[in-house]
Amino acid sequence: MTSESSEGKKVTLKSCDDVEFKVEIPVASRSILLKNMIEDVGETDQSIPLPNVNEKVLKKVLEWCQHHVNDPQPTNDDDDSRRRNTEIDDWDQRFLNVEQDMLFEIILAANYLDIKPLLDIGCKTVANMIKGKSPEEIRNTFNIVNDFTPEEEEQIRKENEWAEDR
Amino acid sequence: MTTYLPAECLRQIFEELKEDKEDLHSCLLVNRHWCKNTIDILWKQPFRFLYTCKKEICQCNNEKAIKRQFQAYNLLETYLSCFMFNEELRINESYILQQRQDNDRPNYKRPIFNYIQFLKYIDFEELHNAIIDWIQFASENSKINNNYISFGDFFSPIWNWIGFPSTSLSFIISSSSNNDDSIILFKYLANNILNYKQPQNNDQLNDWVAIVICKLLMRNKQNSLISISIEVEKNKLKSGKFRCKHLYKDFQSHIDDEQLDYTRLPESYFILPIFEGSSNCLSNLVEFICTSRQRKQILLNSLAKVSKNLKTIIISIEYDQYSWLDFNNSINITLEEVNGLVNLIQVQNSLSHFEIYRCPVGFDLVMIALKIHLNSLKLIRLVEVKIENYEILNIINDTSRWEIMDLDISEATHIYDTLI
Repeated sequence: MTSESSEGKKVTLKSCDDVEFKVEIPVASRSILLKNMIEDVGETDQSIPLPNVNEKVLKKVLEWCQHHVNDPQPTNDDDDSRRRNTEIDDWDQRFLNVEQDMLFEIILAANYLDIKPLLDIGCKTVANMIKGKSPEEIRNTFNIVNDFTPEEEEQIRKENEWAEDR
Repeated sequence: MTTYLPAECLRQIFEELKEDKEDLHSCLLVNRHWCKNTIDILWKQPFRFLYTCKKEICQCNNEKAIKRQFQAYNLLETYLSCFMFNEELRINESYILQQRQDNDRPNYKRPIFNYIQFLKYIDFEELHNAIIDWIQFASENSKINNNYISFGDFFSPIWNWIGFPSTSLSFIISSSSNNDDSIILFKYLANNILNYKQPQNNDQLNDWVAIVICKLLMRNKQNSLISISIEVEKNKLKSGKFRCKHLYKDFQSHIDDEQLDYTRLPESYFILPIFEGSSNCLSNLVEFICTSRQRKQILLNSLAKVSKNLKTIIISIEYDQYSWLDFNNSINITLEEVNGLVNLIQVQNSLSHFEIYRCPVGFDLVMIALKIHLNSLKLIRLVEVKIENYEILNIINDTSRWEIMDLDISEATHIYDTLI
């Protein structure tokens, strides 16, 4: 019902750097945040400001929403099984084959806009980048500074030695 | 990481890695922020991590088994430090004890995290194997080796307990154990804190060690368990993980001619809910799995007093055919267990998953008890259950909520040949 009546109708989204996007409501509704807003506010000509998302990222996220516009809405009840069943398909893999900063921006935006399936595959992609790596390799991959003191690091290592298995 | 991911996103990434202890271990050592957000995931189910294989056909070699002894040692050593630290906090809070000078108090290093609060899943078979591995490692690495008493070969009515070569058990009460910090800590906690004195006989040691560990686990208020299991016959675990076959290695070396097709654990694990603090630790329990053939009537009844929020119960009701003590009484004992199960089912708020294996008598009582959960039950599985009155199944037919029903109705004969 909702999808038929809102077909063709558009909503305007405004990125934090003041770029406006006219988006079909079913596409924007992939975001639970926007879906709820649109339902609450009803039809409006005013644009919806998104202070946490810039143009480049918003464009990218909307590209994903457009591609997945007909996917069934995820159910809330079982987080765990939802995630386990999320295989990253080929299109999504290509979609997420971006610079690391962009990948993190997409994750942040998906989190903020409440687009769970996109957040899931984003996190899965990062998790895949971590798999099989040593702490030092992880730091290098993500450009992270080790801020442990040597004593701290030593103690953490000692207390968690049971989990080390390489 | 030029773009900073907030903790909630980071945690979701780590959740993707939650089944892999090596990856979690690597994340732990990246930096403080990562450490804080992985530590509880890694420590949710450490015993399962230790005794789980990634391949169905276990490829653990001897070297791996020896390494695991060290890992179990390291794990329990860390836990014991947490227990000790928590006890010291209590002592400091207590006005009277503050005055007391305790020269025996062992030295230990205060752990960075209070790891015990992260523990969510315990399988008692895994826990017990970790205890065995810990003590074996400690005894083999003691400076004065092979110098301790060994009554075990003579006093061993408990030969069919899993593991615990009697020599390494007696290591605990021998003086050579004073080389080992973890054993000293353990003995101090048992003797001075719990006032649960160590027995002088080897044949009570097994139970003593298990009871002390159980009591220490239950005493920690912050600890809130999600799942306990005594799951002795299912090698297959969740999502492509497999119980390590080496888990049974020690046990098998103890049976030469007698054919025991299951393992026995100390009875201490079957009275867990009666220990101090259990109402705290077990009140949020969601999952209870017990497919062991040991007597579990006390476990069921005492659990019913503290755990009322179970969503999942997986159980087998069956008397222990090898227990000659109960030989003439088996039907009554089985019925007592059924009553315990009925009691446990009845006190739950809303059960959604129920599996029962091998219930030779009294199944209709179980079905009647399940009736109060008709609205919440999503899955019920009956395997090798003896149904005397088929009309009782109409309770099931009335509802469309069942997802699966494996009904394998057979006579309750020859049902012991499941895999170990």
